[in-house]
Amino acid sequence: MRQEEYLRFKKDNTVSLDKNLEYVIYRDYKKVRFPVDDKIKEAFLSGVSFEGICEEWDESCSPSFTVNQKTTPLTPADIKTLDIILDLEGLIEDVKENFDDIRDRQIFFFEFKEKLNELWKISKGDMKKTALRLEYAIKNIKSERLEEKQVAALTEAIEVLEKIGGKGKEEIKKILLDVGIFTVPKIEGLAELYADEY
Amino acid sequence: MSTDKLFLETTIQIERIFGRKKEEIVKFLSDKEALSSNYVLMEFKRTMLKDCIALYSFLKEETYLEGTLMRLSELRVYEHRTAVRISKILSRLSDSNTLEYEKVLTKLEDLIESELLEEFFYRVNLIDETKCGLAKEEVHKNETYSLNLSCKREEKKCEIEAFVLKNEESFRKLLDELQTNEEFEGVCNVIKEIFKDCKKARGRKNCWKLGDGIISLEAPKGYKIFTTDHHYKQICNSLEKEILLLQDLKHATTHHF
Repeated sequence: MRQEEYLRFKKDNTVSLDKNLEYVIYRDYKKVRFPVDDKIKEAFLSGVSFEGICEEWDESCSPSFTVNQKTTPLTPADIKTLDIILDLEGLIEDVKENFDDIRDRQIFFFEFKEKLNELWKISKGDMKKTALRLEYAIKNIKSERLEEKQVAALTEAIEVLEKIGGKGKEEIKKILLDVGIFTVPKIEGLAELYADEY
Repeated sequence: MSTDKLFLETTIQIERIFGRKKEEIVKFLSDKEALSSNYVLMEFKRTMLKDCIALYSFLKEETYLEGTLMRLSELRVYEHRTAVRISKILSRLSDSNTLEYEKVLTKLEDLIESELLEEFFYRVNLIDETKCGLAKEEVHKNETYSLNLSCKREEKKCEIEAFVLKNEESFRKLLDELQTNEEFEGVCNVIKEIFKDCKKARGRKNCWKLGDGIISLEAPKGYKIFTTDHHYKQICNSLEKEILLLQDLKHATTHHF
């Protein structure tokens, strides 16, 4: 199973771990490709449900080919990482939804910070570095001083993390810098100390 | 002239990444055209990046935070400024020693491998007038990190001689203006030396002394030199370049001489 599939299935509640945390259980499915005509394409684009389209389907249409490739293994560590990313996504969504209630904003934002620490602990390589970038970025931001544009940027950053993982660390940094969130701490007086070096 | 075009000098690049006023600087630059140079990148690498690499090796050798801080404290006896700088970096990265060792190490790895340069290049374009070879040197990782920034006169890694010849008149102006100020005695001696033989501009000993002058000359027409270093005032004065000091940012004052 691939990462993006796990994330999608998790969101659809079609995937879970077995009780001994040894296997990922998911609903297997077949990807079937049918040739479509302009009428069906138009129906899809205009939002007609799949069932609705099936009713109209020309019986002479037959599958062109069938794909069933759900074999890429995800390790338990991968699953845990992905679960934390989904939690982070949910928590930042909670911050956004409850932005006007300072108590909820504090509770969810604090949980978000804690969850980042969890992500740092279990991840490796670029994912670990990205988790740390995010942690450094927000550890000194108090919930009461949090701005809505910053919440939007954090949401976007988590989406990137979900899509491409640690490979997205540079993109995430830019997203954060654009709204004045810094992933590098301030070091007062450093530039002055370098003045004689030039 | 408006303040829409700025040439970022090395101290402002460091201030933009680590400084107390970084929010202000980033906001100020957000609607400006920001330019810097490969020579500035070289200065950034030989100071900021090199310090981070040294700190990483101290941490790896000592294997815990307190030990490293103690070691750096002792280092102040031998190499005060370097020790102070590296201690400051460690202190802030470890959030005054509240973060765990592994976390500080990971953060340093990220800074050394990519984050410092990502910040350096954030919304900044680069020019390359001197073709400085050291600016292109990359960090290598084995047990720890290494960055070869050795520069010897005999090994040609740049086009500084051509740069000096192209800007000979400006260097003369610089010499006329600066030789009245004791603070620039070393710089003036190097300029005199390179007038006799422009090959002497090569190599770290002379080239790095000319750094402020080189950077000022690199700044294209229409760009203000944005810096925290007050020495640039006199240099820009002699070269008829505009300067914006960070200290004056609040009023976006232009010192036009």
